[in-house]
Formats: sequence, structure tokens, C-alpha cells
Amino acid sequence: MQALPARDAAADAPSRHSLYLLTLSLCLSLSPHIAHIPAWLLLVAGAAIFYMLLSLYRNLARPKTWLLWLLVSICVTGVGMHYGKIFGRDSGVSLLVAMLSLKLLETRRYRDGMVMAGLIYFSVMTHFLYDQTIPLLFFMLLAVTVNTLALITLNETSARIAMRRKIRIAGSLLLNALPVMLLLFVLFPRIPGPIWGLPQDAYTARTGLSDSMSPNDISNVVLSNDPAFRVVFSGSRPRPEQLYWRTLILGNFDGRTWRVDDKPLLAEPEQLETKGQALNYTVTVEPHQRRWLFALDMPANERVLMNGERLLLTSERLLRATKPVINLTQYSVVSYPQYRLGSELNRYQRQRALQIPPNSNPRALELAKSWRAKTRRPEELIAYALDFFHRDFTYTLQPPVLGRHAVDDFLFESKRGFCEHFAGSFVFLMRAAGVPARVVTGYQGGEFNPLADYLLVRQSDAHAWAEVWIDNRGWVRVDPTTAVSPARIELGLEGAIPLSERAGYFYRRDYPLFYNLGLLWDAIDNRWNLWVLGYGPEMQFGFLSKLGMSHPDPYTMTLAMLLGITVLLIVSGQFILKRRTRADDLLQKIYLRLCSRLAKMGYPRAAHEGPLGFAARIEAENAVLGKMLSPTFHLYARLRYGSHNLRQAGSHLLRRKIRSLNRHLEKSETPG
Amino acid sequence: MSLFTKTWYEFINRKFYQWIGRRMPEKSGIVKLNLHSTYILPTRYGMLFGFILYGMLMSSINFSNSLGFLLTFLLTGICLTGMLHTFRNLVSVQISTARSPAVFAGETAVFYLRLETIDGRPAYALAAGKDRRGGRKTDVEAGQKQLLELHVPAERRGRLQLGRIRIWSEFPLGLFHVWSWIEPDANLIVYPRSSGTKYSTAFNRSRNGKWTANDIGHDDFAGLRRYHPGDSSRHIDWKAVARGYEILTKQFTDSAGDEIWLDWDHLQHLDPEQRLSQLCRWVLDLHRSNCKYGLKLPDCRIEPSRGEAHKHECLTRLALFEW
Repeated sequence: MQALPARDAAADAPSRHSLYLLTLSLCLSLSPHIAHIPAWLLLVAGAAIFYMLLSLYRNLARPKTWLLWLLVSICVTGVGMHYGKIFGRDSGVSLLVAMLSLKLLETRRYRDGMVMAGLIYFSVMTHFLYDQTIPLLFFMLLAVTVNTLALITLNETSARIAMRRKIRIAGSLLLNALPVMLLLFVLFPRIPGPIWGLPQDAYTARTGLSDSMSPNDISNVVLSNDPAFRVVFSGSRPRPEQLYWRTLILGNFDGRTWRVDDKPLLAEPEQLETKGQALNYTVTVEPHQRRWLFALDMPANERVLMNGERLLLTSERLLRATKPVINLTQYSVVSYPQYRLGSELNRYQRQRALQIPPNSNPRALELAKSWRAKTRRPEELIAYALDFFHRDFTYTLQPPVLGRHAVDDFLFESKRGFCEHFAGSFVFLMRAAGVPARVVTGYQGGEFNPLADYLLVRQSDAHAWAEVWIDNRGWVRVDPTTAVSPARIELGLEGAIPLSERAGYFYRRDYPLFYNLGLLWDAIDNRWNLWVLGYGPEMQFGFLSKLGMSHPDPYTMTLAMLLGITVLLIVSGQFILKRRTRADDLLQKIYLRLCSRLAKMGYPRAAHEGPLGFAARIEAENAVLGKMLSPTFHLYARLRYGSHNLRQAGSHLLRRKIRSLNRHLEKSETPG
Repeated sequence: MSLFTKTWYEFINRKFYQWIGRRMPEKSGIVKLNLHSTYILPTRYGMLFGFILYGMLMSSINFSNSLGFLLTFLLTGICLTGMLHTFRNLVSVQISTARSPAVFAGETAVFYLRLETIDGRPAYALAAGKDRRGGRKTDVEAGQKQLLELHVPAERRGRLQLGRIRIWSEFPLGLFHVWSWIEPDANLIVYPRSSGTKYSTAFNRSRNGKWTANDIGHDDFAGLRRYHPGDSSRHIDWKAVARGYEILTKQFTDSAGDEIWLDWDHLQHLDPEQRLSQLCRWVLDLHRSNCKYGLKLPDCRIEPSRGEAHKHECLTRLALFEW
């Protein structure tokens, strides 16, 4: 082999056209990151891209390599200072944006262009660390198509191919790639991740709940209509007032904030007696980066499995995953709406359930003491408290700011608040009156989607209520919000708050069209979640077994995958390598058929005769027949030896003409 | 490299080219490519792309990211389909040889090949050359023939065979390099290098005595022709130039019957290749001055004449002369 010749630098430079496309592709594939990167970096990247476009348009010189390296190192330092680290999701994405936009300015040669195109393909993937919704799928297809177009443009000759044709090539690549994508998606053996661990900020926390509750916490969440989880009930559905999704127990109060007990009780699970009908259901949880999971009051089964791993049931009978939920996950639970939780409270437990900080909220303390002077029965004390709330409190999502003695301020001054104000102050009053009580947070309610028969629970369904200890009855659920706004429980949040406080048009019952579109969208989203995002090792096993694969182990899957790809490539190879029938061949075929017919009639064409000569000879021998044939032969000659463009269209014309000619010939033959 | 490894290397190399040779389409005026003679390998960007895909796959597994899987597999599909496209782009091409003009030794010979597609669709960014990435890329439109130039240095006089060339393409994605070794039946004549002294009367050892001692072909004005580089400035019609006409050269003919014989045997003081170069130069000189000249070589004799065809015949004889 001879050595590689030195390539001409000018011939090696990517065309201006391809650089425009590459810039466009880069802008497109990075655009969703605008929300994720610091403003100064956005400015740098924007300036780099703008300068690139300007330099292409005006033929300006691009910055020297050392300057770009300087800029890159400044950006790296900046990102490091901004995030306090380099390795993480957000900082990694910021670095990628900085490097790609500066690398664009350095795209001088074919090699740089190719590397750039490869990196742009890669950068599309970074969006999926933030979001995996259906719109992103379409974004992905668009970004990949545009980048493929840029790649084709990089590889064309200097004589440019028409854009229309390049789009057709890119489209053909994409269409042929889609079946391969589906096949690989279904059959590629899935391994449970992670392999090397995730950056701490790999997925954004989006949960509606937190492990502490202080004034104004939940109200921020309430405005978010994002789905929290979806539930499919097998068998009977629960009634709306039974839909309490118990998630967290906040027992520790410091006068202002309720917190989860940081010292977990090393106790046996609280005893559960169940009666009545069970509810069987499957929950699909949106990733929320926390370990907590959701179950209806009160989960009964001891073994709950999720992704093949056993779920934990805490001593307070709360459901927990062993690892943070970073992907869409599914589990099945059995719950009993009628139950009795806990048999007795030991001294330590009782002490904790009565804990209130000293010297806080004196007025509330006094009120509770006055009740306790009247009665010691918990049921009556609860009734006093609910009655108190029922008198002149207002349910609102925009409560006034509360002072140091938050409970006092709420109970005696503002008297306006939402579930967490009511639950918090209720538990405070109960404890002050000597009744063990605790705050429970979770979700309440949910909405049945009539289109797909599942219950959707949104972040806006986040709720807080109380559990009160009554001897012989165990922990009893009390929801003080019902005393103020029964509609919150019956109709959900939408029914409870005034119109002016509601968010968005979708999900609002007073706009039926939008409301139904919202439901439809959620039903589609649910399918997407189940079939695409939730397609992990278990679902793959289940799906392939259902398809008829008896042992869907990785080897079988790999084998099936390779076989499938081979078949797909052969099929698309048939399309790609197919010969297009040439117009010339078609014309000749039609002409020769006519000639053989004439030969049978006694006019054989001599090998040397062209169409016109042949026609002239026939006309000389048989004037009638010749006159009939002459226009057809002339048409053939014009098409065959004339302009190339006419041929494709002309063959249809010729065929039609010959068909009518054949009819004439038959007519003329029959009498003879 | 030790002798052993070198021997092995040569052995493998020889075997490889024998294998290629067996698979190559037969040497012919029209070469059709087929699956048998076409090879495909990823380019280095293809390898880079594969590496990126591998990274994306690992990330998708690590993050259990379904859309990540979809993207990775979509790009895999594009890559594989792109491979088929690249393959079709080359294999649909039919190569035929076109007449290639003669050159002088030491110049670059230009071979012309005609490319057309046989599947009624266009093929893009094809190139052909003697070495791995040689040649300029060219597009072939459907139903049309595209002329492709191949530059080969012509070092020695004689008939230059194009020999084995490599036709290749990386279109549309640049991730795969598809190529074929072919041997189109193309050759051209390489005239001897023109060198030696200018033809002059001083160097006349003619024994036939038929021609005069005057400067050749300067006696009778025969007309004007367009100026060619190399024409003597003395023969330019300066008056016409001054009048604003294009530059014209005066043509002269020598007296009828004045025939110059260029004879191999007269140049015995030179070695054979030098003789051929000298004769070549004289042929060119005499052709330029529109003389009537003939050529005598040990194995042939060309009667004196004039014109392009005659020049070509003489030079071809010189090119193919074997001593």
C-alpha cells in the first residue's frame, strides 16, 4: 500500500453550507438546556454560536485555538465555582454546552465536523436525565434527523446535492432505523442499573412531599399538576373518602416545624387487625428520588415486591423502597379500609406522641387545657377541636404569613389556612390536651380517568391530616380539614379553593374541553409510562414470555436480537438496493411486444431497421396498416431517442396508444 | 523487522493481493461491480461513532433510561442503514473506459473513466485513484454519464496501462468506507520525453541532399493561424496585433518536395533513449513549423507528411519503439 497522500487543506475544509447546518443542529439539540445552565454560560454559548454564524455569513476569521482553550478553561472554572463540583448532572451538562459551542468555532476541517456531529448525537441524550416525556421523543427524532442531514452535507461533494434529496436520504435512514430501534428496545437484554452509581443530582426531586412540614410547604406543591402516581384497582374501587395515601408520619414538633422522628423506633410493626373487604391495586410511581412509597390506609400484605426487590414496611406501617425511586416503578398492594392499628402504646411511645416544646404557643396551650378540664375522653376532645375549626376558619391556598408562635397566630389571628395548618394545629391541640397524636402527610384523593380506568394522583393532591391514639381503638385517622372544607375531601382541591387560586386551564372541570383533553393526554402518558419508561428487566421478561419465548434469558434474547436485525437489514436492503426500472427498458419492452405481434401478422422487423424505417416499409406494403401504425412508431422514436425527461411519462402514453392500436388490429384482423 | 517477520509480511501481502485478484472483476472495457468484489469497513469516524454508541448504551443501562435506550438504538439503526446506503452508492456504479489523450514522459497522464449507475438512481461522492483515499469526489446523476479523471504520473515512454485502481465512497454518513479494486481496460500512449538540441540545418548530415540549408519552412508565406504558446516571436504578425486583431502567427511552407527525414541512424553518438527524445523534439519542432517530415526507425519507415495525425503517428512509433 502506498502512503496516504497529504490532503489538500482547502479540499478538506467542510463547506460553508455544512457548517450552517451543523450550527443549526447544535442549537436545536442544546436548546432544551437553556433552562438548566447558568445565565452567564448561556451568554457565552450564545455568543459563540452567534459569532460562528456571523463568521460564516461575513467570512470573518475564527478565533485562534489558544483563545478557545483559554475560554474553555475559564468556563470549566466558572462551572466548578457555580456548582461547587465538576462531576454531576447539572455541572456536566453545563460543561458539555460550553465545550460544544466553543468547539463549533474550531470546526476547521472535515475531521472536526465529523467529531462535532458525533458529539451532537450524544448531547441529545443528556436531556433524558431531566425528563422522559413524550414530547422529548419527538424532539429526539427531530434533532437526530437534522443532525443526520448535517452529517450527509459534510460528506457530499463540493457540488451540492439539492436539499430535497438530502432530506429524502435522511428520511430513508430514519425510517429504516425505526424498526431496528424497536427490535433492539424490546430484545436488548436489560440489566438492572446502576452499574457505576449515579451523580447525586442525577434526577431532579419533584415530589410533592418533604420530610418536614412548616407553614407554606405544601401550598407550593399544590399548584403543580404533575402526576405523582397512578393506581389500577382490580376488583372494587374505594370510595372518595377512603382515598388517603398514607406516606409520612411527622411526630416531632419544635414550635414551628413538624419533622419525621430522626430516631426511628426500633419496634415491631404496629399490630394490624383488618376487617371488611380488601382493596387490591397496583401503583405506578413517577420517579421522585425518595425511598417512600404510597399505599392506601392500611396496607396489609407482608410481602410487597418492586423490581424483584422486597419493599420494607416500617413500624408505623409505611411502605418504603430499599433504594431511592429514580425510575418509574410498579408494585402491588392489598389494603383494608377498615382496620385497627396498634394494640397498646408503651411509655416511650406515649411520651413521644405527646411531645410539645415548652414555652411555645401559650394561647393554644391554654385553650387545650380548658377543654381538658371539661372532659378526658379523647372522642369528645376531638369533637371540641373540630367544632372550633368549624366555627370561623377559611380554607385558602394563600394564607397570611405566621409569626413565631405559628399555632397561636393561626388559631386566634389569621384563621385562614390549608390542610397543613389545620393538621398541625389540631395535633398540637390534642397533644396539649393530653391525647397522643401525630401528623400524617401523603396524598388524598385522586381522579379516575374514565378513558383508561385508572386513578391518577397528582402532586396537587398532597395533603396532611392527623392520627389520634384512642385506647381500645388504636390510631384513628382524623382529618381536621373536613371540618372546614368538606369539599376538599369530596371533590378534591379543585372544589375547595376559589377560582382565582387555581392553576392552568387543563385539569379544570369548568373548562370541559380542556379538561377532557387533559384526561386523554394523561391516559396516553400513562401508557407511555407503562410500556416505554417502565420497560425494565421484569417487564421485558413478562413481555417476551407472553410473546412465546419460553426462556427469555440474555442469551436467547441476544440470539433473537441478532437474528431480527439480520432479517430487518435484509428487508431494508431489498428496498435500498432495489433497481428502479429504467424508462428506456420499459419503452423497449412495449415496442418489442408490438413488433412481435406485427411479425405474427406477416410483417417481421429486420434486425437493422429502426422504428421509422420499419414504419415506412409497412406503409409501402400495406397503406392502411401503415397509416394506423405510423403515429405510434413516431412517438416511440421521439421518446426513445429524445429528451431523457420525457421517457418516464411517455411510456404510459405509448402503452395507451398501443392498447388502442391493438384493438384496431383485432378489428381489422377478424374480417380478413 | 527481522527477516522472518518481513518474509511473513510479504507472504501475507502477496496472498492477500492474490485473493483480491481472484475476486476482482475481469479486466474489461466495462466494469460492473458486484457483492463479490466490493469491500466495506468502518472509517475512523465510524469507529468513533461506535465508541460513542457504546458510551450511550452504558449510560442508558446505568441510568435505566428508556429514552436513552431508544436514542442509542435509533442511532444504531441509522448506522446500519447508512452502511447499506454506502454500499448501494458504490455497487450501483458501472465503469467504462473513455479515450485518454497521449502525454509525454515526465508529465501526468490523465485517464478518463465514464461512470453511470445501473439502478436508475443517482450515486454521490464517488472517487477513484491508485491509492487509498486518492481522487476527487464526483456525483453521478441517474441516467447520465459522468466523466472521472484519474491522474497517474507517466514516467516512461510506451503504452501506459491504468492497471488496478481503487474506487471508493463514504457517502452518505462518512462512517463506512466501501471500495472495490477494479481494472478497467484503459491505456494511453506516453511519448518519449522531448529533449536534445533544436532542429537546425547545422545538424544536417543528410545524405539525400534533397533539402536546402535555409531555415526550415521559412521560404513561402502560406497564411496565418492563431498563436500557440511556443511559436517563435519572429513569426508573429505584429502588424495585425498593432491593429488590434488577435495574436496570429505567420505560417510558411517550404518548397514543395523539400522533405526532411528524421533518421534513427543519424544519431549514433547518442544512446537509444536519448535518440528517441531527440527525435521526439524534432518532430515537435518540425510540426510547429509546419514542415513536411518523415521518420526512419530501424523497424519502420513513415513517409513524410504533415499535420496532427502524422505527428501522432510518428510520436507513437517513437513511444513504442523497442531497441
